Amino acid sequence: MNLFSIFGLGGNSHGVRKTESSGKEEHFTDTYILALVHKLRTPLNAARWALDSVIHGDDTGKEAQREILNEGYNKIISAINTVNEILKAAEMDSKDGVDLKKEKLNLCDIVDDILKTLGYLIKRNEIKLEYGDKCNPTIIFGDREMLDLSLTNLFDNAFRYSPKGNVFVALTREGGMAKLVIKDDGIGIDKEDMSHLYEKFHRGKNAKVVDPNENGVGLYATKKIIEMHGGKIEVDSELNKGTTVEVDLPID
Amino acid sequence: MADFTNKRILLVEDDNFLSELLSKKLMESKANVMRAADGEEAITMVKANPKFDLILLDLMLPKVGGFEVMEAINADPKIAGTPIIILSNLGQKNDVEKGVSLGAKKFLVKAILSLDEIVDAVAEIIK
Repeated sequence: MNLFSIFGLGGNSHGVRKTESSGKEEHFTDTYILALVHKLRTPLNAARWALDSVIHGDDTGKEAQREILNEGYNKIISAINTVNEILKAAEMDSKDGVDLKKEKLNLCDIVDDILKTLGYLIKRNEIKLEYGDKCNPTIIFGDREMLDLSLTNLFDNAFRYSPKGNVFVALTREGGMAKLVIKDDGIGIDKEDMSHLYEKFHRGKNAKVVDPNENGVGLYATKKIIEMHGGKIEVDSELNKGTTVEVDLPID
Repeated sequence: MADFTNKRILLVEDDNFLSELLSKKLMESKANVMRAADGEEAITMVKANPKFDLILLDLMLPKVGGFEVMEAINADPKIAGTPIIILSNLGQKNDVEKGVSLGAKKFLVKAILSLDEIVDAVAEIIK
């Protein structure tokens, strides 16, 4: 597998720009490889310094050392997640596509787990989260890992780009569909960026200002996974006002 | 071991964990370390304080990027010439060239250096 196939940049599908000049196409590819290398270097760097600091630093006591190692461990997990995300995107782009490992799932459990995983981000960005205490079991037939990846991305965006803001989450049933709504009053997306929303690796200009180091496959993978489950996603956003995402997934 | 007694260093790094680890390391060498978490804060701190002996500057920063911070410093005669070491996880030829053209004394790629190596690089600039 070459780098073009990993990043799906050999063709003009999926909103990827293909230029007539091969030189330009290579440059385009390089840009994203560099962005991903940077995204991997950052947590690896932190893990290295964490170990370095415990091995070579002044003795700061066991508890302090444990905290440093714990943070270093989290950074390694973050690097592994990035690699997994890239591999999933590559799998989705391959000619055989990806085999969904479908099973009966309760969307409530998935959302609960994601909120737990992203607890650090909710805390760091001082998010006021509004989500009912009790979720009515909503059973769908889907691939747990893929849906996790897809929906985590949406929640991550809402929390990351609404610092000190409000995020409203609702999971309801409408007809034969489960409807997940994630509404925030964060930085929003400008009109020009909205037209590139589902392009692989695309990031809005204001998103880069808030968090320049973040760089994932983005809504490209999110949308694709939802559609592979027979669902759809709609995003409505206004710059500096906030974003509302609605995901519909068929109920089993 | 390096001795940075009475040396004032501004560390500009948006990753709080990295910033803590490196500032702690520099303080072990007795440096007086101040920290900024984004480019805007860095410019404010550089303008509001006596000239720093050194600025350790990340490039990908929230609000205002590292290169823009350097441009702002260069444009202000009171602080222009403050020694700057770029400390980034970028490091492509064009990044290094731009950093050097804006006056960086060194361009260090964080992930390939240990904390001791960074302290050594700092010591070379603020002898």
